[in-house]
Amino acid sequence: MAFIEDPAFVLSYLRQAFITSDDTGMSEMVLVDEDIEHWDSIKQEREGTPKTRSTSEKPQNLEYGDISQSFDITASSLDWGIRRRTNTAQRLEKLKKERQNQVRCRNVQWKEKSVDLSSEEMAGMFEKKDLSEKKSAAVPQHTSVLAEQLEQSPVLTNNPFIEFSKFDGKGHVGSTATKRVDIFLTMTTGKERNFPLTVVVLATARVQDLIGLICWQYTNEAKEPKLIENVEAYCLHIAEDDGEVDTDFPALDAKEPFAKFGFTTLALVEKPKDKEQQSEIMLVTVNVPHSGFSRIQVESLGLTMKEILHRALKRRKGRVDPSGPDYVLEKQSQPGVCVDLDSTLDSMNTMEFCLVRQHSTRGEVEEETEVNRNMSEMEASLSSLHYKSYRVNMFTKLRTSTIIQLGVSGEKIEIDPLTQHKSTAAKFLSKQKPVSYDADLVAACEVTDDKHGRETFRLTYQSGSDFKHHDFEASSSVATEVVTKINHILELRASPVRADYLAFKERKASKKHGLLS
Amino acid sequence: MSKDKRSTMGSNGVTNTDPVILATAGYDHTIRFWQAHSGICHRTVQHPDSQVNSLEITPDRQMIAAAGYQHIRMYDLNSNNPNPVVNYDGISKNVTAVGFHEDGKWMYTGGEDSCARIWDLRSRNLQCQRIFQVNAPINCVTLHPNQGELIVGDQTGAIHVWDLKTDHNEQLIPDPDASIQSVSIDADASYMAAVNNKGMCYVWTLSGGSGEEHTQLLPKTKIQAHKRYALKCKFSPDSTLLATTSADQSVNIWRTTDFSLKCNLALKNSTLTEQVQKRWVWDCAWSSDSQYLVTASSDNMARLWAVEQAEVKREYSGHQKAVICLAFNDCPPT
Repeated sequence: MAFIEDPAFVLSYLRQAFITSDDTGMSEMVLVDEDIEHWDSIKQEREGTPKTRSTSEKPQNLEYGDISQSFDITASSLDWGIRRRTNTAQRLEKLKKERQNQVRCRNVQWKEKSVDLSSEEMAGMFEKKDLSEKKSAAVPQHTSVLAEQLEQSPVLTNNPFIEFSKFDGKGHVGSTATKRVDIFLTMTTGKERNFPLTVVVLATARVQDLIGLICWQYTNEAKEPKLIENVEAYCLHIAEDDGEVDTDFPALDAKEPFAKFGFTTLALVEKPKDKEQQSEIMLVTVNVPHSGFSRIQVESLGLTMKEILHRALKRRKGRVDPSGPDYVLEKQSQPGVCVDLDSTLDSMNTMEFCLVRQHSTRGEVEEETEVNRNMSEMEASLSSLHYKSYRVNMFTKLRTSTIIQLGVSGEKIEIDPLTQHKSTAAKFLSKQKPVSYDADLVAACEVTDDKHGRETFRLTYQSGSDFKHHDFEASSSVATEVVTKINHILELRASPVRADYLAFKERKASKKHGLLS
Repeated sequence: MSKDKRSTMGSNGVTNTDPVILATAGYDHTIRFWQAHSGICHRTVQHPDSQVNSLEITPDRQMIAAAGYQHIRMYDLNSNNPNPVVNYDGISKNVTAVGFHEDGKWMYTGGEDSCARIWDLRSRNLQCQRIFQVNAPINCVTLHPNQGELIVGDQTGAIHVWDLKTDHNEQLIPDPDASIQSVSIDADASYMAAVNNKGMCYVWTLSGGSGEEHTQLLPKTKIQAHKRYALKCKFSPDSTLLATTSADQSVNIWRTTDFSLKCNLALKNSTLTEQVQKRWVWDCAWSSDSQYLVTASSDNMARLWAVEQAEVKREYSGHQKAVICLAFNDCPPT
């Protein structure tokens, strides 16, 4: 129990003790205001005291007299109650520990011989052994313990994960930093699945190394089924104590040091096979001289060129007679060189090809366009009647966007949804049925918004007696191309619907104008 | 230490009374103990502040001695104490060789301070310390099977035969321009072999060496054992084979009948990795039946070879740096 007579000190102490470490703020309410009032009175009291005393108290005042206005000071920042031990104390303890270790370790210092040994002692210590007896008694051939053990131990099939065994921390506990983890093996069944494999890993290992170590131990213990001989086929997920894999969290990053994760229970999971690659849509462009080009969606790079040719011909049915002369594919960059139809798309190193008739060239077309560059406007309007497809985002009523294929030709405009690989919710909300609109029903197409290289455009069409619209979004170049193309078509066709729409718009505008004025 | 404590089980279910002891060490400051037949490391102890140059198991299989820089440290083999139990110091430089009298009366060491020493193990007052000084750093020390003579090989290429009882010593220099790397005498003391840094292996036949008589060396043959540095030579326990290890990443096995090459223990090309250039074979040890050879090499691995088939039976992987020495004992006390 302390006996303190200075009220200023008591107040200061209370402030420090309560306010600074009180999260609720209650002590603040109780103490602060009165505190200040009291403070003033104390101060006045002090000023009345003789000069000599106040000077002697001045340094003390500095210590606790000024009220700190900051309540951000927390107990931890002040090390309240717990004082860090000094360096000296820590060093002393270390020395003490070392000394204790040395007590257990006997130290023998080399000493030069001080006394001459008697010949008797010398003889006792360094007498030569007679080897002639041993020579005569030939040791019969025996099998060593090692040989026996080797025979008994199961023939270890070459463990493909041997390189990771160096991260095994078993037998290092206490001498090196290690971590013990329970690993649930999701590929096993039955009892194996329910009980984790305990792995001791060096603290220096990365996640990848830990996976390797698990695989090594798994193989050593001859567990079934056999693992894929590649650590990259596996990943580590957070798991519950009962072995349930927590899939809400992503797998641990294989390149990170494992020690930074605090988990003691994990699950070894086989990675799903390259899901990402599947969901990526790849498009192959096949140019057809005189009649534009087609984009063909492919699901893998393993397709043969024959299949691509087949799809290209199918797509261009009507414009190119598939039953007619034979067609071949050339790389767009290499005119006149046919590609091997049995090779895969992967080996082509390009996604752009040209469809040409066998024994003919495509050169003339290119030359032609070269000559008639100034007629490009005209040509564009003519070629606008050709079918062309674009990949754009379509906004649904709920303003979610979905990728669709917009096919534009002189006759109609088609909207085909591309299969979605995203979450089920998005699929549900944005289901877009394939529709097509007769070109004669299309009323207008215009760019409505332009930001950061992405343009939004609106396609207006007649449905029954009123006009409806779809909103799309695409990169500026694509959007401009689509809008230009459709407008060309509309101009060329000059359908009554468009005339109606223009009149309707004019009326609306004048009405608005009227309302405003 | 009470006797019963020594027979307790190890922490990982590996009994410390395993009849086969295999320990390896090198530049990573640790000594690892292996289950020789499974390749599993069951214990690691720290060897602080220094690499380990040489390892030797005491004849009673209770302790292992590790020779390092300025120290020889003894670790208990039959407990899990990660710290040494005895520390021998007072030496100024690297200790390169360590070994024991077969009854554990004394320990011999040799080092770069050009001294071979005898340490009394029986009593604490060290009444019979002995020292033998040569003119160059010592690379290797071997005890004659008669337990009375030490063979010391040094960097100037001299081999000294030191009679411990009489202090008489003899010196021979097979090649004055090469450093003696290792010396070995077979179990029945009929041959002595020495290898140098030019890859040469010299063999002598021994005679005498009993009672007051000094051992007489008679040159028998010399062979170009390796194209590069030879690092170690060791006779098999049955005296029929001699193993020489080398910087050329392989081990050669020689027949002692005519010193012809029996086989070459080298890794096949298919298993070579980028570390191939570093795979010096530093040390080796025979199994008691002379059928297997354990090697330590600088690709951080130790390997168990079946000599007859010349193939790797087990690999001991775990060291983080080069493994330069090993100790092996598969003769449980009967």
